[in-house]
Amino acid sequence: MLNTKERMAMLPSDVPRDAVIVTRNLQREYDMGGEIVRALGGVDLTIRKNEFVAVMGPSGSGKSTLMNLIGCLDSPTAGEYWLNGHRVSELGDDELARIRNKEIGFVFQTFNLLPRATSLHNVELPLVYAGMGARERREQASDALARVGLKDRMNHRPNELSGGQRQRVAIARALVNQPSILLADEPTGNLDSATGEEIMALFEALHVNGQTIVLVTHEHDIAEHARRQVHLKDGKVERDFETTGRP
Amino acid sequence: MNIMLVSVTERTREIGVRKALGATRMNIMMQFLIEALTLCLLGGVLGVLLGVGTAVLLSRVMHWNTLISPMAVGVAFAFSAAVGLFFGIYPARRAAGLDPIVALRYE
Ligand SMILES: Nc1ncnc2c1ncn2[C@@H]1O[C@H](COP(=O)(O)OP(=O)(O)OP(=O)(O)O)[C@@H](O)[C@H]1O
Ligand SMILES: [Mg+2]
Repeated sequence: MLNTKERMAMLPSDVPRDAVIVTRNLQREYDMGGEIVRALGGVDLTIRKNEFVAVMGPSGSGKSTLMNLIGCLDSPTAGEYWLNGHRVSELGDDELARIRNKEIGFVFQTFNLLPRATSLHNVELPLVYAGMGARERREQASDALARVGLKDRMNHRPNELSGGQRQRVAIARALVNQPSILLADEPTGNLDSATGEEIMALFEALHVNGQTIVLVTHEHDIAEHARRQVHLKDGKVERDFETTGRP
Repeated sequence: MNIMLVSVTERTREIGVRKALGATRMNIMMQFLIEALTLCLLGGVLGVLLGVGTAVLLSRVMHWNTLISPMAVGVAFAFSAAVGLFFGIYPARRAAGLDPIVALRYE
């Protein structure tokens, strides 16, 4: 007989074998001085390897909350989350840090590059925390920069780059550890529409090369690049459907 | 290095970024401690140089007999390091304990 905890820890049996992300009844509440704010009210989501998912929904519907949980930046107040079959919903700080380092690549709306560091140094950072030696780090970071078309901007600092270029550096940084998922919260939110399209073309190319991608957006034009849309409302999945994506 | 010259906002966000990329509590703690120590040892070096310089100058101009004891220099360095550790530990612990989401959003 399994005890309750062990039974809970087992992946649901209906989950496909290539599932990268599985959440069941995932919840996140905030205690605002006695008043409970329910940011996520029980989300069931299964995302398989190489899926390209757009998470949509009105402001305050819980998109960022969901991304932070999937990205192991935050822990749920109830419910389960398995990443690559491992239950992560109850891990401690250091284990979560290790998962963020190895399994997750983050791309933020505001880029979040270190302002005083060169592109190369910014992209090397995850490798530093992975404990990689300097020479190998340099090699892999410059490869990642080449993948996003910025080989000639390695020694530039963020303030010497355009918004689109900064976001490319951030994408290179997210990819450098070969994460199982790329998570992007409004990656085009601070870019003009032409530059946003360029960034989306890059995501499409990564998707074609097998990268699993989850991105948050409130723009339909942007979401159309994905192959599946998950719409949230009031902290719950309202609609979840596949799309053909845009050529 | 530039611990004093950079805004709290920039530093807080930096911690958020580093944590999002996989830095552990210990990584952040060590970074901040090493920065504080480096700063204080640098201060120690400057202080010793200034002291020795003044002593040499005075002995030339005033024809005093000066003696620079290695012991005094050693004590000065040890004191710098101790100050660095003592005043470094608190901010380092605070930085290491920051919630990455809060740190990333810090305005
Ligand atoms: N740290 C927090 N403390 C308290 N409440 C929070 C916190 N973070 C989010 N919330 C609340 O949780 C709900 C969901 O927020 P979330 O940031 O996930 O929305 P969102 O869908 O990303 O919105 P937007 O499109 O504006 O970015 C909101 O009602 C918000 O006020
Ligand atoms: Mg949001």
